[in-house]
Amino acid sequence: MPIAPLPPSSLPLLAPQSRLDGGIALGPETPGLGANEGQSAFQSLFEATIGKTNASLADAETQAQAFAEGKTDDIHGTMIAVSEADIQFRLLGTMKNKIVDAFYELWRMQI
Amino acid sequence: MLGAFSAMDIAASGLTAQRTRMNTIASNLANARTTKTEDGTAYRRIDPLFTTVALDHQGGITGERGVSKVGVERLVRDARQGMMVHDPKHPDADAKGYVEYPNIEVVEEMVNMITASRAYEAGVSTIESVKAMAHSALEIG
Repeated sequence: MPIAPLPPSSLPLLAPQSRLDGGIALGPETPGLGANEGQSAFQSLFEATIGKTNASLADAETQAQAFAEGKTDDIHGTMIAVSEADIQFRLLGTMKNKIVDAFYELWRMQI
Repeated sequence: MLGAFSAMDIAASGLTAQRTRMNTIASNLANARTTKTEDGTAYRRIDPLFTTVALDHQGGITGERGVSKVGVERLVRDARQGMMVHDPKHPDADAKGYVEYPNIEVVEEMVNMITASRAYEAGVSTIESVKAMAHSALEIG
């Protein structure tokens, strides 16, 4: 099954309208912190990483398929595309683990 | 700025260049006794001519501009005269009865082949090292 590249704005999970945002937002009267700015920067970073990873995976898939079908004989090009996709995906996984860790850290916080 | 995967791209260009070189060596060895090409003369050995290729995105650190990929500019024909053998009954013999055989030394081509395959291995080692670096960077934290 081919993987289509993901547009960066199509992720509903971390959208500003989510309940998480309403719960944590410090309010407009809090000066200097720029909570919304920080969140949108983080969100765009995460979205960009997901988009890049998806593009890498799609590229690797296209090249591997072309190689399997005999349309190209670029062995090392295919292997490098697959390796790049592998590294990108591992980076995404590491980022996800960090975010989940941070969430549980907040969850366990004594109030 | 050179990205994380630039080294991989550069090494990949080296692999492609060495693969082209291997193709020319295969052609030279296959035609080591070819006395007639399309233009009627004996086959003469071909060599790839390598040239630097600029990376797509450059700038940043001073001196980074010198970092470049490799590409095959064109294939050049070795103009050296081949061995002339007196053989009047050969269909490709000239008026004096001499046949020109290709200017190919099989031993020389074997040496080039070893060089090409070692250079390819070096490129693959570079890629492996870049991958290992990326994996160990992911261990941070």
